[in-house]
Amino acid sequence: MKSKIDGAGPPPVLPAEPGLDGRAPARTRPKGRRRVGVWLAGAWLALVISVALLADVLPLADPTVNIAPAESAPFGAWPEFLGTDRLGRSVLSRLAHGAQVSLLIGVLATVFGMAAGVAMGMLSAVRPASDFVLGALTDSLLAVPGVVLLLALGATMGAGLTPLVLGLALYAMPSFARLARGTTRTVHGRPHVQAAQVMGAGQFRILVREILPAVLRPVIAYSVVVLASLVVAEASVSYLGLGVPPPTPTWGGMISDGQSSLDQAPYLVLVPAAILFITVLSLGVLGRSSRQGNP
Amino acid sequence: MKNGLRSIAAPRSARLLAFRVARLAAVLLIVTLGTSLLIDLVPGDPAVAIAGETASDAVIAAVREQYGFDQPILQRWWEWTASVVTGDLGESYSTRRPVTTLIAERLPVTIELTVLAMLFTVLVAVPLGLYAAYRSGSWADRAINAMTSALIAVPSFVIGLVLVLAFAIGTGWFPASNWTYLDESVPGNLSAAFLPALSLALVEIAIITPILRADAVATLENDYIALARAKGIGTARLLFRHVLRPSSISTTTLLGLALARLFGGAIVIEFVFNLPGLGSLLITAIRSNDLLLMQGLVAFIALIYVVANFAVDLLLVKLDPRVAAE
Amino acid sequence: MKRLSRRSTPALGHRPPEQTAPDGRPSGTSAPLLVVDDLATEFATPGGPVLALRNAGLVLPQGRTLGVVGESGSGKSVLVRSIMRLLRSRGVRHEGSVRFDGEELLTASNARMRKIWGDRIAMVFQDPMTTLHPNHRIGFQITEALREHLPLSPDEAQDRALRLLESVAIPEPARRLRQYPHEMSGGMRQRIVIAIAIACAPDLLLADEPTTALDVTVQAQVLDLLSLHQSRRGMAMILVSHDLAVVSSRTDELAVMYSGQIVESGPTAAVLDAPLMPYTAALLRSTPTVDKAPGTRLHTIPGEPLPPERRVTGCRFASRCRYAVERCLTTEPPLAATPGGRGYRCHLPLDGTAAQEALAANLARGRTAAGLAVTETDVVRGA
Repeated sequence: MKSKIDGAGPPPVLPAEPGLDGRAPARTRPKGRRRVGVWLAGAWLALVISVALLADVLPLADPTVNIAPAESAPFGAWPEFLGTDRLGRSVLSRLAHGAQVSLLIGVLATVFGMAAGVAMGMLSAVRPASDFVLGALTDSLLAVPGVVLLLALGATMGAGLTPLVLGLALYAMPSFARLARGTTRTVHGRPHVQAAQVMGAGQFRILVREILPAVLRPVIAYSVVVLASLVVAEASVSYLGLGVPPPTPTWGGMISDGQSSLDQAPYLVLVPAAILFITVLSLGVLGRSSRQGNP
Repeated sequence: MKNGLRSIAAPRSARLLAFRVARLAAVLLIVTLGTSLLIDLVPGDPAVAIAGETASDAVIAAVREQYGFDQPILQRWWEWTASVVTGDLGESYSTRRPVTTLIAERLPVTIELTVLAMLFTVLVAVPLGLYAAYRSGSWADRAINAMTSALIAVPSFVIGLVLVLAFAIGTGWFPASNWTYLDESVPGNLSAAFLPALSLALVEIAIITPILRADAVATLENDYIALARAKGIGTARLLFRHVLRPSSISTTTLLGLALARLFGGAIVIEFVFNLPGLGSLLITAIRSNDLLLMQGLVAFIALIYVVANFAVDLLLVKLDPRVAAE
Repeated sequence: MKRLSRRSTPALGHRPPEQTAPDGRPSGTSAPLLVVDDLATEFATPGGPVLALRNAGLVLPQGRTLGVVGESGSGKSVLVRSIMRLLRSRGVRHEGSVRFDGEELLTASNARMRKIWGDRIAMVFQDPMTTLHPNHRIGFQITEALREHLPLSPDEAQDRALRLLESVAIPEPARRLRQYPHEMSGGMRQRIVIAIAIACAPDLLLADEPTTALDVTVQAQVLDLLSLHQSRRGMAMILVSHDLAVVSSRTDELAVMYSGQIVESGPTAAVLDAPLMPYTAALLRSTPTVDKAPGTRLHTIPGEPLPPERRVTGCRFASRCRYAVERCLTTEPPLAATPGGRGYRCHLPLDGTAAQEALAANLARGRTAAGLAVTETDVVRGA
């Protein structure tokens, strides 16, 4: 059917994901250098995850209380080496607690989107009738830009975690569905599946026992890339002031707050932006390497 | 074999077209139904949400009556869709003006941003992708690859802010905010649109360049490229006349998606640069709980997306008849 | 000037005689058009460098034809593409020298090569189904070559293209010019590829297995067409084929390739009548010809072709050669030349007594020095 690039749904992070037609850009980079990149990315993510998990335990200032003069520049003091924001709150502590929000929302939405997408994709691969309906549903979801979908849900359901996770999961679902559909179709013709059919196994049993494992491998590899795009989407909505409401710190919200003093204290934008960038970049690097390992 | 394919291509593409039109209709149905359903997600009474907590019962009742919140969802959807078909999206509650008028006022800014960003994207991504493919493995290719992989991890609003910092606050070459309409001043308008459009385009460039590169690398392996080279034609001619078109199918698909994605991205970028486009209208609508305006905007943006994709599908069939046969 | 009288200077396979004037320019008519000397081509692959062509040497005078034969994978295509310097991908490395009309091609700039490509050297590729651009009309593809090198207006170019199509015997040329490649048969497409190649009247035409992908019924037509234009326009031509029969009647000179090397060369008739290299002889025995008696068994060459990148100490054919002696395994045979303008790489040329003695010794032992089994019946039948 359509020669659409699979996974072109969520916006920024999905370029190199043609996946199914095997047209992934083949690059012959020196293996060692790539491995260093993967290690660095993994180390950074491990740091972000542990800081997020331990944010409440670590000796950090309260992210919602002003502790120092406003807009003190980074590297001026210890332990607040990242300075303070417009209200004199600790940037370091807000970043750590912001990581909690970003990762929690991103991971939850990825898992929900993956579960729903894989079920939809596998079903539509084996049931031609449902293919049309599910295809139209997928296209409809793709038809609303992710930010608009999130904004609409947030506006109607009220700001908070639930609409964000729901919206991001809906937003991630179509690409998972397409990937799962394509893989299911490929795997369906393989000998072991046909053998199971000949032996009279039920369709549900075949889907779960024979096909699901094969579908999950590329899907899980792909989920890292999706997580990256969801972190970006969450940050964008928070930046627009329509994500998790203040005073809970978010990376996007910090950038938004900092924008008003962009000319006097640009680091209030640049520091959270850099953290966001490095995290998304690391997810992208890991995602690409895990997809290469899973042809 | 290829001749055989040709002979059956005509009826097949007709069937494909029918399939796509049916799909288009289904998508439009689901999108309008979905946007109608949005109202039902509002916790509590949507009429209260619109009119405000402090409104009198009479006002709330009037709002409920006006928007048909007392009717079942299907009927509300039907009435809304029927009036949409006649070009009436209702009246915005907060401004008391027709939604279509509000959209029409804001649309030019968003369209200009989208078109400019698209233009930047094509102008940069196509030569860059082709050159990277032509010199694949060289340091230039690696530099382009490193640049696009890094750029892709930067959200567009961060790009926007960095550009503001560098070229508006830093050098003062461009305004950091404030829109100038085209009929006020053409250079002023272009200068106001440049940074926002560039922020939008950079993300798309990062997406499209590696895709085009990968396809062009595959195209360059073809015998017909060897033949073209054996004619002695120049590199630019080789790349643009011979390599580009056979390599452009994925890119065209992505550009079609990009058009719609740029529309969505424009919402955030308009907020960064404080521009009077559809995005800031949507944010205003959400902040003032103007549900009907929001519903109209979401449906409108979705419609543009769907139609753009449909057009790209048709274009792809035209670009390469083999797509129709697939 | 460009066209020189046909001369017979069969000097294939070994170093060319010094024929350049002191100033390095080709000295009038005596310089051969193409001189390839000790050409080697190496590809960088993920598994390390692969030497696909080694020690290739040949000399081709103006207006003469050279056939290049060998099994698939013997390096024939690499040879012609190296001469044309058309192997584009990164990691390709050439050594040696390719002199065309007195000019070194291996070190020429890309801009210089573009002037030569199409105008002075042109190429016909193997598979006409893939060599024409699928998105361009035939007319565009022909006029593009013309307008690149000749100062023609669009109308003049169109007119030339029309006459070119006529000259390659394409019916309804005016209509064909407006068609796309997928609207034509393979034979028709190959004629168009030939029309593109001869468009600017090149001095040298490289034809890389031009008929392999075609139906048997049109193979002869296309070959005749090539020969016709070659002689009519006085082009020099290199005709590559895996099929000796294709090459035998249509070329003046012959080069036989095996495992990335030219193993024998010389005037076509001489080489085919009395091959000096056992590989050439084996190749001949495995080719069906009309003059062989009915019922003659065709022979296959035992063993597998040696991949060009494989390193061996001795002769590259030794493992499959029934004449092989100890020396063939330890010492690489140098390029030898005969007074008749022939060249070969063999310690035991078949015209000498050493070859017969070696064969007799191998027969007596039942196997060659490389361990290949040989029996009396093979030899009798093959002889």
